Amino acid sequence: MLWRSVLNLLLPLSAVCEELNSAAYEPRAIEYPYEETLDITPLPKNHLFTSFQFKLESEETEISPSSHVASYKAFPKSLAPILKTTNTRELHLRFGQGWWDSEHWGQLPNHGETAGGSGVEVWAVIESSDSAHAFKEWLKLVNLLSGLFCASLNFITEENTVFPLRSFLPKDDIPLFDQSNGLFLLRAALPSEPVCTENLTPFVKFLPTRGKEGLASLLDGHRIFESEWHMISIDVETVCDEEHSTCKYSMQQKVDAVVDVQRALRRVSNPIPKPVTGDELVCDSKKPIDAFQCFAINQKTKTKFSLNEIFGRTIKNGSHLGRKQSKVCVHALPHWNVFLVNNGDLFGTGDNCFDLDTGNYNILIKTDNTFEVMPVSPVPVLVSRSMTGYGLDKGGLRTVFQNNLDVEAQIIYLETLPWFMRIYLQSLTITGAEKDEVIKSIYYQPEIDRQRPTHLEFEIVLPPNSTITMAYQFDKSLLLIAEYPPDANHGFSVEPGMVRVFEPLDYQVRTSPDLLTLPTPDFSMPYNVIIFTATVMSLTFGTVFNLLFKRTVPEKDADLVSAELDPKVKIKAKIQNLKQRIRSILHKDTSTNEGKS
Amino acid sequence: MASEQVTRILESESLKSLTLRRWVICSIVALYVFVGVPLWFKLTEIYRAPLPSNFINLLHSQGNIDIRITNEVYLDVLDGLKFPDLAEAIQVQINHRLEQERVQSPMSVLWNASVLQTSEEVPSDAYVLHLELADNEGISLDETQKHATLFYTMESVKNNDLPFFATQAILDHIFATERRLLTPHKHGINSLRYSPKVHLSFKLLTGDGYPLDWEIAQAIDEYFTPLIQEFKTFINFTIDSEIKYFAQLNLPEGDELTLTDASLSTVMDFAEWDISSNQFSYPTLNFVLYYPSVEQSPLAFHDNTIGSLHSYLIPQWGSVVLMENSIDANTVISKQSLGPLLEVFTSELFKLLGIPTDPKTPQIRVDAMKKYSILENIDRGVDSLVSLLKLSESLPDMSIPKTVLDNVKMALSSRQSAVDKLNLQNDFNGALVDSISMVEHSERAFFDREMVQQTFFPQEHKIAVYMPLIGPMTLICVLALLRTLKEVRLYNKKYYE
Repeated sequence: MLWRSVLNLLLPLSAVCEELNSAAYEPRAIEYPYEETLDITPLPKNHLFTSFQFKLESEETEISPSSHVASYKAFPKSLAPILKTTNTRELHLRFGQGWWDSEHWGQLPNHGETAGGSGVEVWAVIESSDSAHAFKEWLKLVNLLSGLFCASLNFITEENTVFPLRSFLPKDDIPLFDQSNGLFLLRAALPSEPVCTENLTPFVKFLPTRGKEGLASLLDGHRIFESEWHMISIDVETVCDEEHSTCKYSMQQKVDAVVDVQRALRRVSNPIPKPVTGDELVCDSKKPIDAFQCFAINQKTKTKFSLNEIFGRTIKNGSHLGRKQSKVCVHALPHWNVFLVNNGDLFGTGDNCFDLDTGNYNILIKTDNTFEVMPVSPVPVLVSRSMTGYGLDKGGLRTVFQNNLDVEAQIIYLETLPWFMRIYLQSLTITGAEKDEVIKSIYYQPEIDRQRPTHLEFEIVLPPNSTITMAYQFDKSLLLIAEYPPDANHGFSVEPGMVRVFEPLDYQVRTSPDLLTLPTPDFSMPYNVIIFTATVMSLTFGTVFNLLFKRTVPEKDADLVSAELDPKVKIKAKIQNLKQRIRSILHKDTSTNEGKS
Repeated sequence: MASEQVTRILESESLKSLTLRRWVICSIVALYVFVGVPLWFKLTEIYRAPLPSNFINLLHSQGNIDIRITNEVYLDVLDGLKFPDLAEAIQVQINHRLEQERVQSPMSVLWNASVLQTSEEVPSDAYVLHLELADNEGISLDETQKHATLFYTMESVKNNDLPFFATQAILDHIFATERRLLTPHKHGINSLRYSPKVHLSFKLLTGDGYPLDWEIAQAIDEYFTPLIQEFKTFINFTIDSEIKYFAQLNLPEGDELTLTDASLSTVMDFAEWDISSNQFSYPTLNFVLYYPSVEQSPLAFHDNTIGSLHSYLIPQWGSVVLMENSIDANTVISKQSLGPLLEVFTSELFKLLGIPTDPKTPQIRVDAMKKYSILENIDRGVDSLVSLLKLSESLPDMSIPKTVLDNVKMALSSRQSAVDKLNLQNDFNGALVDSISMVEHSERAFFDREMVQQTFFPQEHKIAVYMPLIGPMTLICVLALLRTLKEVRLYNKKYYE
């Protein structure tokens, strides 16, 4: 009887299994909205620019969802609900470190659009009824992202958030889900945030291949973050189809890095640094060379390397999930030989682009002349900023704009300064041109202590082929003792200023962050105060006490009395006595020993 | 000889000045001990708010002794018959039975059902027991209202069995679930705490990276919607689905591992699979359909009954169904084939939610869950407060800010208000709100930021910092006191001689 019932139970289940295992499948080519490409460009001085690009889209959802099941296929499930709950229509995240050498490397990749400042930068477009509510959503957003990316994004507060007016304007129209709402653009930066491998790990996990396959399998945090300049960027946009009233998220993830090839190769050949032997040394031919003199340059004329040596890994299969095959392109002059290595076989193509399928891939690059590379695109505008002045109470900021174009350049310069820098806008001076001709308008929102940063947006017109210097002064304010960070003497980072060129071409570039030293208190001060006060108090007490208590007697009487009454003297005598006894015992010991011997 | 001279020197001083000197030292020492030390102690003290420890400990040890839950049941005799004293008779029976049961298996609170004769107006959401004359005895529960019908025969009226039947109907049918829930029992480890919102996440995982698809949305719409409708009154579900690739099992390389329930925890690495939940405010249950990669398939199962589904329940997390073989690339799992899988998940969902399945009247179940949740919340709140007390006792140097005390007071007053609403007004919704606010306040008290930050400020540091004051002063006073005592002794010796 029991048998029967067990069998009965089993029957439907086994039927289930057969169905799941074989019958009901209908094979058809499934494609996900996912693309990945890798662009490699050799740069002068044996540098290599690598750019990983991943594009993905979410499933389409209706604006007013009738189905309550949200499905995730290519788009990361960890990100979409965050965007949804905070009503974020656009999100841009930048993690960057290093210095982009514009002189040698030319324009920033993608006209500077996917580049950010040093540290972490984030801006978002949030749909909300008013700015206060938008700010609340913004705080929620950055806090959730902070957990997701293991970054200190939770340190973004009203103290460092601004609502930029013209600098970060989105390119396309952003859909409003509720027509009574407005869109708010918020932006914050954390310039002193160290960007590290733990920020790359969640980035890779966002991809459907999860770094196990496809181009993402090349991404090794240790190698990426060792590069001269690297930038991780994430851009999410909401794309809507008005006709069907459906919307989806479109996301672009990028990892850009400039690798010093010589250094990367050296790391493989001798992990423990050793001086280069004489015959391997490359000398600068413009400077005197003889048997005793050599001005070494870090560049080799001939080079041969593979991606495996640069990144420490090979590409494991192309991705099978995307609608296009994974693609690797090398942009180099014809005298650079580029091969795709698969199972020991070398393949080459005319345009140096390769589609990847199944297998382990490696890219081999060799050339006889590393001095000639693809011409870099000229930089339209250069900007650099520095601190001026001395002392701890005031200082100045000096920004140099250089227009390399033959025409006027119209730019927007955005600066967000922390509240403890109190700037004097009347001290603003321009050298190199007339002030009124250069600065067309200034948007200035003064700081409020502990509540709001200084928000400056300059509309500037740079004359053709000119160098303009802008300078102004500021006061440094004092912080409360609890507001100083643990390494207060290191200084406070001032986030990079941002230049956006919008005429005659589109280009973005940022200054490097500045380090502001504030008057820093001695943090042991409260203890010192207590200790000094206590010492003074006990000294006073001692004097007053002696006046009240001690009697005046002739000196010889004093000796007598103290010998009799003062406990100190008694104790001294006792110690003396004890010493004497120990000494005598020791002496006895040695004398008996001597006697024995 | 020497002492004689000293005595002489002492004698040279007038008695008045000598006494004055003694007064000076005595008063300074007295000031030091009785004013200085307490003042210093008071001024450098760490603020520790006085927590109502006695009351909290009492609550913890006594349980919910002050809570009384009374359910009113209205008696409605149909067929135009009248039993004027039936209500009292039933009440006597119920009281008797509850008295007996209280000895055998005490409930966590004082529970009672009071039977009332139907008056003109019966509240719309009240429990009503209809008595209907029929050929056989029996009971039936209404599916939409909190009404039950007891069928009886004239025979049972004659034998005076009607009160007994009614008692049975009330205690063993209408309130069976409620009474079971309120009796202290081991909370199943499988099930979640009750939450009005639960997120369900369906995941298709595969070890390979070949594209797959499944018609999960349609399948959920078809198979899950009735279930969602049924639960709607007390749990709101939000649902999502997800496909993840490259979710490898941690199988040892080379030798074959037979999967058993015990080895499962090492084989499946949820962190590596990266399928943690991201619903922030309420619990998530995960339902995973897993296909191994080509290299790892077929999986060897310990209980290899051919063709059965290998489903594993993971307590408070969800359920995993492991497939034996890998799945071909570009496969779309159809809605029909997902149906049976969802049936498996449905049965596991019941286990994971730990919600009662009977009686079939949903309102009665909701009522039972409500009361259970109130008591559970109150217990949780008291537990947090007791932990707070233990923490504050174990760290005497920790400061307890006023906000903690305020939160503790708020928690206790919320509890009191919940208890009042239960005892006096039978307002279960209000009590539930209060009990939730109690949990919130007690947890806020326990996790106060300031309290944790100040934990490491030992008393020795304070003394070390004030040493430059305390050291010299103590030394001066003690030495002077000793000296005076000696003087007094010498003087007295001389005097008595």
